[in-house]
Amino acid sequence: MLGRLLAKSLWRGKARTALVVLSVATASTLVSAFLNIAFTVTEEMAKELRSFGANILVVPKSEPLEIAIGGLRFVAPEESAYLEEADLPWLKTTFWRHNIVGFAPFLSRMVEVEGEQALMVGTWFDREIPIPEGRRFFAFANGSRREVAPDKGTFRTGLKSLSRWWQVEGQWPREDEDGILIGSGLARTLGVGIGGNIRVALEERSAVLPVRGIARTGGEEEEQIFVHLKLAQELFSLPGKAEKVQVSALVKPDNALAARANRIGPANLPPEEYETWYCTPYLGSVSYQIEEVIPNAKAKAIRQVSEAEGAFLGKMRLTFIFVVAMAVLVASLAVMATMVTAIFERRQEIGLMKALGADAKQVRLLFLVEAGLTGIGGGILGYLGGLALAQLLSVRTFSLAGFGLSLSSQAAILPITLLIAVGVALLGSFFPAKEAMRLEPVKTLKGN
Amino acid sequence: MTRRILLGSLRRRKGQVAVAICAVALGASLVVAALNLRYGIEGRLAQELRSYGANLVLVPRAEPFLKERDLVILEDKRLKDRIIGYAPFIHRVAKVEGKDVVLVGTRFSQIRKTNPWWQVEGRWPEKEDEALIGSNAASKLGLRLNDRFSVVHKTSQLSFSLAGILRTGGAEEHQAFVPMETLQRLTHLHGFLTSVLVSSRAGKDLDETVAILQKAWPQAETRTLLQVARAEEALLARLEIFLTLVSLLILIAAGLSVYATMSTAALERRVEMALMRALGGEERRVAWIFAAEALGIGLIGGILGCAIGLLLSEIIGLSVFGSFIFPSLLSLPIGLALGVGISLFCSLWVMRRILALQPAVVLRGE
Repeated sequence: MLGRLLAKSLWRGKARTALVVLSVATASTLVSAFLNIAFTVTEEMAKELRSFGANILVVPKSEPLEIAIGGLRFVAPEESAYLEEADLPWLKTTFWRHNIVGFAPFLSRMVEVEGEQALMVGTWFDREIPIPEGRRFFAFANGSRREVAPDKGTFRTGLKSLSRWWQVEGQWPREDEDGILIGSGLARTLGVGIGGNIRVALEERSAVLPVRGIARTGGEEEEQIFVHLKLAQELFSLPGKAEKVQVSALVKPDNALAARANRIGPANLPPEEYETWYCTPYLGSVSYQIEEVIPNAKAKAIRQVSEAEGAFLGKMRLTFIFVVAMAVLVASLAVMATMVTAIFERRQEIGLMKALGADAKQVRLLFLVEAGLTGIGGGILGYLGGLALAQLLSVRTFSLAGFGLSLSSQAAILPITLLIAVGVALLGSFFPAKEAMRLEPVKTLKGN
Repeated sequence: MTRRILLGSLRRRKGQVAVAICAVALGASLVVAALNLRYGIEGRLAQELRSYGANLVLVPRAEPFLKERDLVILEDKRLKDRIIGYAPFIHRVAKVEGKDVVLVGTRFSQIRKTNPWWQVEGRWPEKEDEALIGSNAASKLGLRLNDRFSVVHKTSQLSFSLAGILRTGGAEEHQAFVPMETLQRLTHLHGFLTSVLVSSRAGKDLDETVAILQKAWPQAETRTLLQVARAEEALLARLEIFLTLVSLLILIAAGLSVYATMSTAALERRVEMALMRALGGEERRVAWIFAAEALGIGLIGGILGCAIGLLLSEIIGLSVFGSFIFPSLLSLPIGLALGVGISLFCSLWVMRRILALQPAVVLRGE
């Protein structure tokens, strides 16, 4: 009986039903778009920030004391310590390897460039490295083991992707041929331009290298020259060595657990907490995992970058939560108001049913089920619309070259959108239906 | 006459009018709050970004040093509100306990502001013979907190006590920091500086600040630290687009809900309207009465909404940033216009439909 009534009522009022579903859908579109944005916006921001400098510095455990002044750098020879370049690909085998978005090794020495003292830095500009294969297990203190499927293939990284803020005039030097990227300050002092050649000498070794590009950074790099790592290793006769590695890793802002782990050391955490800490991409745990795979290394947080990022993203998240909560509230209001109007227009129908002997419960049930169906229909439509809208918004907001958009359709969004749509539709029709039931059938039928 | 009808109608239908006003007020308040956030938050976030550190560095152009007395330029009133903080530096290599170390003279009270990420174990130096040493330098030199050590530069020598150990993850961990005046005395470089870090307001203002600095302090070359400046630019630009879009969406959603409420309110009164017309009321006169009512509801709702919205955005500002945000002047007229415009538009729209019907049909209830 109820089913037949429902089907008839929905069918006969096709146009009206469509209109209500449409308006519920519009509002749910907004809800779902807002939720989509809320779930991904801070991640997108975090990713965005990662192109503005590494946040972890890996150095040898016995880090030598450097004397760095005005872009020059000296290290006492007896103190020198190095990392092995061959160990670097292991960075992509840590537990949080997907969060390691880039790294580059550095090896530098003071050299004589056309009679001037300058720092020559060997690095990877844009290198494709194979990721070591094999299954990996991560064992925990309480005996549990987790296996993580290995990454396959190659990983492309280097200074070029790590330091996106560098303004390079000309080209970045290539990995397979000798060439120099020169700091703008030094280029001005030496009076060389792109395409020119400069002589670099260290002790009795020397090389003549073509200038491929001029870099402007505003920092000390402007007084230095950059070559690919292999060339530097040969010139310094330090085959296979690097003195430090900059790593850019996506991390979560520290919370109380991370702060405690930093204070007392991860080894002193209780086993369950250790596991939680290890399996969350905090700066501390990612650094810890780097130290696990690179022998004789110390991973330090570059606090200027990490602190600012943590503070900024924390604030952003809070702002977005407020803004989105507000938006969801307005959208819900819109659904509710629509439902009120829809029921109101059908007062006479309610009166008629009552006059024909329907009891209040039945009528209420009919209208609530109808509202529920409308909510579900509108909610699903709105969910899909919201996905499209969010995609549109995020393309406009976060389209930065080099970042593929990964607006993952979060699993939680569909149920939340539906819940809001249905809940609000029910709430919106409950009160006006009740109100209509209270009225005398005669009155409603008369139209007062 | 019109006024009497209007007042009477408002008095008799207190409940319905209150509901309509509430709906308008809610919609308008959310729009006002969103717009306030959109404009107010940027300034706050730009300031928040200062924790990223200085975005400008001043270095000598031709001579080897900058003059300390020229720092007054940065206190000039044209630059005062553009510059959030600055810290002067003098760098020299000196022998500390027999090892070469980069010795940096600075003003600690200022550097604490420009470089808030510096983590100091122990305490910040206060006296003129106290020093801050980078963690790596301290371990290489074998120094602990409160140790005394000597610093030799050419023929002069001074003794310092180690007040704090510094951790930054950067080059500072290899350096030793002492009060600027002490270092100038040690190196006989009274009144000289090697660089000044300047933390300036981010975004569009930055280029102007650079231009002003170039003119005001010609002996210094102003370099933009691109790492910091670019990150700030990118974040602010994206934030701006994001908040604009969200405000727009909120505007649409709020409009929808006000529209639905006002339509219901107008529909409820079609019998009344028909009755007026049946009793000989002119169409325009009847329309005017209802429009005036909608206008009143929109105005009251809009004003209420503006007040609530302001409050809401200040609450958000307070809980996110711990301080008030500057309300945007644009948000209030927009909120008000939304309230009045939509309620007027809706009631006119519904009225047109009803007035087109024959009064007799409406009164019969069909």
